[in-house]
Amino acid sequence: MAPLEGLWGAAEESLSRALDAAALRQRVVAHNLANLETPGYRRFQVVFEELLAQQQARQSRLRLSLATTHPAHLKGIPARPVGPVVVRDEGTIYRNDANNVDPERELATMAKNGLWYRSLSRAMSARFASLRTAIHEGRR
Amino acid sequence: MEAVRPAIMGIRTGEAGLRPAGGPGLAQAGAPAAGQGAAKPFSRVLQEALDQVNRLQLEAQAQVEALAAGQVDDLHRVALAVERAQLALELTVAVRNKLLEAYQEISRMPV
Amino acid sequence: MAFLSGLDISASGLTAERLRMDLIANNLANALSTRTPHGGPYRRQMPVFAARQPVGQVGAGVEVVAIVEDPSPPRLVFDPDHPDARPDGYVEYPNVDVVTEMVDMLAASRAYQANLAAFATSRDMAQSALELLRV
Repeated sequence: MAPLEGLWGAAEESLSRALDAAALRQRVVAHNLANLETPGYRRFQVVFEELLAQQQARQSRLRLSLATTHPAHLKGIPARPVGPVVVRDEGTIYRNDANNVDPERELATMAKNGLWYRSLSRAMSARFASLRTAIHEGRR
Repeated sequence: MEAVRPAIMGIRTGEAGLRPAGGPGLAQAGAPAAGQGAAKPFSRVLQEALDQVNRLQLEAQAQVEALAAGQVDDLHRVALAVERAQLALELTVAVRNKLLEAYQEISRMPV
Repeated sequence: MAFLSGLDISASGLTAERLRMDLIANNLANALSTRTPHGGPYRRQMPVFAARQPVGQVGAGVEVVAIVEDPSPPRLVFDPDHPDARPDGYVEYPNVDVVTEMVDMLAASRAYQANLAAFATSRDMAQSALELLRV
C-alpha cells in the first residue's frame, strides 16, 4: 500500500500522459510542416485520445462487473498505462510530388492541440492547488 | 506508540485531496476500524511515506539535472516531477505536525 | 541538444524555405543573364529538400541536401545581333520562367508562414508548462 496514493491517482496519471501526447503531437506537426515541400514525404500523426477513451471504457466495465464482498477480492485489473503512438499516414496523396501534407489541416490540428495542452496544464495546476488547500487545511 | 493510535484516528488531512471511499489515505492507515485483521503499525506507514517522498524527490532532482543539461524536451515532465515531490513533502510534514500536536496534547492530560 | 526540439524542427523548416526564397530571388534576378563566369547562360537553380532522420520518436525536420541546376534546355531567341548570339543566330537565354518562379515563391512563403506558426505554438506550449511550477 502506498500511503501517499491519494496525491496521485488515475486522473493525474491520465493528465500526465495526455500532456506527453500533446507535446509529442506538437513535435510531429512541426516535423510535418517543416517537410511541407519535401518530395515524397508522408505525414505522421499521433494517436492517443481514442486509446485513452477505450481504456477508460474498459476500466469502467471492469469496475461494474467485479463485485467485492471480501477484502481479499481483486478490485479490478490495474490499468496498464496507455501512451501516445506515432502513426504514418500512407494515404490521401493529392499532390504530384507524392507529398501528403495538408497545411490547413496541420495548422488546425496544431491550434487545437496547443489549446488542449494549455487546458491540461491548467487542470493539473488546479488539482495541485486543491491538494495544497487540503494539506494545509485552508491556511496559506 | 499504541496510545497515540486513537489520537491518529482523529487526524484528517482534508477530504478534497484524498479519496474517501476505500482509498488508503494516510488518515485511515492507522485506524483498525476498516474491518481488516491486524492493521499495519503506523511507524511502518510513516516509513513507507518517507520512502516515497524520498523517491519523488530523487526523481524531481533527476529531472532538474536533465533540464540544466539541456536534455529535456517536455518541460511539463520536469514541472510535474517537482510539484509532485513538493506536495508529497508538504503532506508528510503536515501529518508530522499533527502527530506532534496530538502527542503533546495527550502528554498534557492529567493521569 | 534535445531541449525543446520542437523549436529546432521548425527552425529547420524556416531555414530551408528561406534558402529556397534566396534561390528564387537569384533566379529572377538572373532571368535574362546570357553569360556567366563558367560560360553559357544562367541556369535555374533549385533546392533539394530531404526529411532529416528521426531522433527518438519524431523526425528532426528538413534540410537542403543539395542545390541543383535545372537540366531543361535554355530558352532560344533569334537575335543575330546580340553579343552572345550563337553562330546560328540564336541567343541562349536562361531556362527561368517567371511564372514558375512566382508560384514557387508563393509556396515557399506559405511554408515559411506555417513554420513560423509552429515555432510560436511550440514556444507558447513550453510557457504553459512553466505555469505548472508554483513560484
